[in-house]
Amino acid sequence: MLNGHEISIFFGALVALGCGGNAVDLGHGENRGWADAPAAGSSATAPQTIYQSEEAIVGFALDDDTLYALVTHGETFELVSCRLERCRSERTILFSGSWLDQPSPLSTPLVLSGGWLYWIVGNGGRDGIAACPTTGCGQPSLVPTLVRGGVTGDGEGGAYWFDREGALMRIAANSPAAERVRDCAGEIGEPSSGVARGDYLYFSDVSSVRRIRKDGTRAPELLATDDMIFGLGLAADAVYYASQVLTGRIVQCPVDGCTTGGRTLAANQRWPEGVQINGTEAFWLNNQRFSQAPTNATLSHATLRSCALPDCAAVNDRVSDLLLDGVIRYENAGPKFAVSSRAIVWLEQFHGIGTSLRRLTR
Amino acid sequence: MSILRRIMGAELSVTLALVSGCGGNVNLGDKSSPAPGTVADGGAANVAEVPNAAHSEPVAKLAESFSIGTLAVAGEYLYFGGLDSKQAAALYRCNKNDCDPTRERLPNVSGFVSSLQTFGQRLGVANLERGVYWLGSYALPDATDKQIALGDLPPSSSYAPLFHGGFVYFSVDLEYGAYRCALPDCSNTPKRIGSTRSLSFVNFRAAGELVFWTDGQFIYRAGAYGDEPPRTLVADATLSEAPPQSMTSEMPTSDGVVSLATDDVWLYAAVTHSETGKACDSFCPHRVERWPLAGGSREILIDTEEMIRKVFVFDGELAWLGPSLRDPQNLDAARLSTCRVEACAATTRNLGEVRPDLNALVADDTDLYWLEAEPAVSQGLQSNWVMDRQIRRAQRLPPP
Repeated sequence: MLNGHEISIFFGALVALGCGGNAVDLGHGENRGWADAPAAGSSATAPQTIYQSEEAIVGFALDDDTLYALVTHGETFELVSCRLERCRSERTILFSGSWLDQPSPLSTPLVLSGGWLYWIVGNGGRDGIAACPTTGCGQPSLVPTLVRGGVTGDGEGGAYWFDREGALMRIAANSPAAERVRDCAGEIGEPSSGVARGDYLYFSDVSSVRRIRKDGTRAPELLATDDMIFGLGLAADAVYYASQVLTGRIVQCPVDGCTTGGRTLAANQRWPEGVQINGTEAFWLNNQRFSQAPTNATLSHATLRSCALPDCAAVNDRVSDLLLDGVIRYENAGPKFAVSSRAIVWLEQFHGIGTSLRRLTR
Repeated sequence: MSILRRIMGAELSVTLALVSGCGGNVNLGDKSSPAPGTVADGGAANVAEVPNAAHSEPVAKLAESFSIGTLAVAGEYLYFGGLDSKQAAALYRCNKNDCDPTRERLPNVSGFVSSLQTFGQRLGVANLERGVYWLGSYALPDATDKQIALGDLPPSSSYAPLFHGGFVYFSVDLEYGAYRCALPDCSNTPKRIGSTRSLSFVNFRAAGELVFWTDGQFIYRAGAYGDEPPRTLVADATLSEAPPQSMTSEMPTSDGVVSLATDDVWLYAAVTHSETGKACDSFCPHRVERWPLAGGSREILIDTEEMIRKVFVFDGELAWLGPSLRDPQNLDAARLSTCRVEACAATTRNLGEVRPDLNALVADDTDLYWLEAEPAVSQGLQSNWVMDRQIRRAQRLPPP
């Protein structure tokens, strides 16, 4: 299996390829760079390519039909925004410059929160949380911190995360420094997913789901325990998570806990991960099968599935055979897909080291 | 027992320094079971002095870097995995009484077969084929009729399935789960029959309708071929159920479980024995113990300062992996020993050097077969680790 260092070597060996150049959407064709939506008449329900290149998108976020993306060009990167249908012709570069760390990250959450974008810088150089307004910035700000996980926006322009010492950290919009909200060392595991709502931040590690008050006045509460939890979604009255591998489950758990066992909404899901809730629909990825790339790297052939809440009576395959880079989910990696009321957008592997960003109109 | 074992341990520490791996304190294990914590037989066989050749004979020579650590026996044939001249994995067979001249590649099998087990008239396998893992079987004797019970499995370093009772039992080393699939095709829906606390020690064994596995601390026993919820057991005098609180915390006073084996009457385990009340590691004294499947008291068969890596049993002949005779301190090599359970001290014999992760020890009605290892040579220098270089066999020990 490829590890992060191996992949970073590949990145280091990349010859810069043209980005934003010829961009005609032909699905999985070999054109590289950004693409506009095809002309009217093409199916809006078939997956369409927004971007594909050996120069990877290492993080992205979706707000209705606006895409935000971090695109690496080796030692430099761009932070861009665009309407999903016009990412080639009407793309805005919010920032372009050198990575704050070297080399490029492999993957990071790109957190959208109240007009600000946050991402993790932590690849051997200066470590921290970088921030840039959605309107652009001359230079992203960098708040020094070592991120353990659980990065999420607060919806008001700020963000939360847990640092390596286990402290709950918070940064407000346009703030030069982070605030240490609570020392949670010994109270949390290795948080991965995090979602903030109301007075609470909900987060999960591989074996538990917990929540903590945003003001840090109480210790985290245990909501659920399970095996191989990958990803956490949140609705008004329940958290949803994926667990287990071969006979995976999508589980619903009331926001105040289900320590005696949650409700299985979907069973026999093969290695599910990344539950997201949009409206009354739950989405997740199944790692359905695996294959071997010419580089000997393991590739996952995933299926993006959804079901209608609250009962999840029927599970629908929304996108089949997504090609993901193996089964390793890097520490603090960003999500593989995002859902808005208008579209589903996902990242696929492209030629082993690059990415293909694709979309489906809902 | 403790005093006796410590004496033996003291002797052993000297002996080890002289490159003479002692079999330790071996129990006769007769039908009058000793009380838990005692050893009925005070004798210890100095098995190190027994030459291998007295017990075994070569069956086939294996080229360096050929073997992939798999071996099975069925009917007139031995089956074993190997790398061909292009370093591609293949499955071979030979007549067990004339192996080298009759060795042939089985053309219907492709992929890297990392596990072999005969059951009924079939050969159960774990196979990495074109980057995809699957569990299934081939019909004997020609390895035809490929049946995939469960495919598209996640990458895993150690699929070691157990085919038993119409099911295949397995775990994925990415998940704390134990699974079962109905043969032949599983309908692609494995059943999760239990969990573990560790990813690395799942060691499925079965006897009748009982299925066992271990996570290094607990022994799990599921009835009705895994239809019944598993019981979590502690390797103590009566194989008692683990107290609930122990499931979420360390149990420093319990013995660690290294390996399991079963026959029709007994569950066997190699354990690390904690006498100090503190958590045990591999440097604790090791034991081989057994409990009646029907319930009852433990018998301690071997109690030794030596590290025991694995335990096997073949109709009353106990086999285990102890420290290498060539280099007892070398953890990358091991010694294969066997004895009759009923008279272990009197019948203990060393069968030679093997890899410490040996799975390739199999038996037919008359003989044991295994992959014997020799020190690997790397760039002209002898290294610590060993590689399979022969298939050997020894007549099975007769009951006393």
